[in-house]
Amino acid sequence: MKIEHPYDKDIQEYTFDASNCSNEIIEHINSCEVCKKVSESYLVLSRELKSQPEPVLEFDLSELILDQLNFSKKEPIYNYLLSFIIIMSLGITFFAIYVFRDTFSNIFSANITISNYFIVSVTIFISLFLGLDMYRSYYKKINMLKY
Amino acid sequence: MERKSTIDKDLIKKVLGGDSSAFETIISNTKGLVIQIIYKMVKNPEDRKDLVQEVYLKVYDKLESFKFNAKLSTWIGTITYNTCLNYLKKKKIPILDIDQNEEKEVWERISIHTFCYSDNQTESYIFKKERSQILTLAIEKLPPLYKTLIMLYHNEELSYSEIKEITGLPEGTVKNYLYRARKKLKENLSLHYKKEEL
Repeated sequence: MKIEHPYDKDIQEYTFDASNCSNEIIEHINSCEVCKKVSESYLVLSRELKSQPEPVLEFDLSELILDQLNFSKKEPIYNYLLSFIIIMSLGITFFAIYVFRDTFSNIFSANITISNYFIVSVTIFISLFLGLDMYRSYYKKINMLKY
Repeated sequence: MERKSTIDKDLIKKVLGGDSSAFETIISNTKGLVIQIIYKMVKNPEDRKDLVQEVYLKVYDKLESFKFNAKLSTWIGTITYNTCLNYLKKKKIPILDIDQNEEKEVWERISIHTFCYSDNQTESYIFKKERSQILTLAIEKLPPLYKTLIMLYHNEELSYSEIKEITGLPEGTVKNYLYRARKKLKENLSLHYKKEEL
């Protein structure tokens, strides 16, 4: 047995986290009355801490919180609406491409101004919704980081 | 753990569907931990009341973003701890005022002197009639972070990894702070005893 006593930290490790304690220290404490008593004093302290009364609130927490919350959640409706608009706009775009496919095939060869306007407006429309969706997910992620 | 996760999922689904009683269940399941963290980190009773409410309003707002990477109670514990940290920062209250000796990681070896001092005094003193009150006073003298770690480990019986998740501190740091906190608590108790003896 090592004559020199271990550090206080090692005795605490032996007391509360023995699986991470080195064999040398375990052996020492098991055979040393002084260290064993220090370890026991930590156990007594731990038992006393466990038996400490828990703090109690003087008000009804659930009632107070539920009074402040609006339980008709608007988020899911907003989600459905956004998805519906995106799907609708994509549908309209593909339908338009299908209907005006002949015009599209000539769009870059012939100089048709109205077709150019159409392409630009559809592109802006789609970009707008993609941008909105990106902003929403960005806001959500930032909020997650904030808590 | 698996069953607990399923229960958490069901509760969250119900809350998101607008079921207020499910949120009431979440509150009653987790309020013990939330109140303990707030009471250990914040002294002012009015601020404690405001913080408890702030925590649950945040939980409700962010419930949709909960990813089930941890237990719901641990996640709520993290929100509580961070809310208290922000409060302490705003009030410019240090969470841990480590003195120079502690910073240098001085761990004195156990000597006969330490043994007599810690064993006789702490143990016999703690068994006195008013031991609970004395222990409360000794705990109160600890910095907010030490109080919180002691409470999470000894009262709430959380594992090191759960404490690591709540506080965001590395596991090794959690262990080191816990060693220091217990040592300091023992010293506080001994000091109290010494005063009484005089």
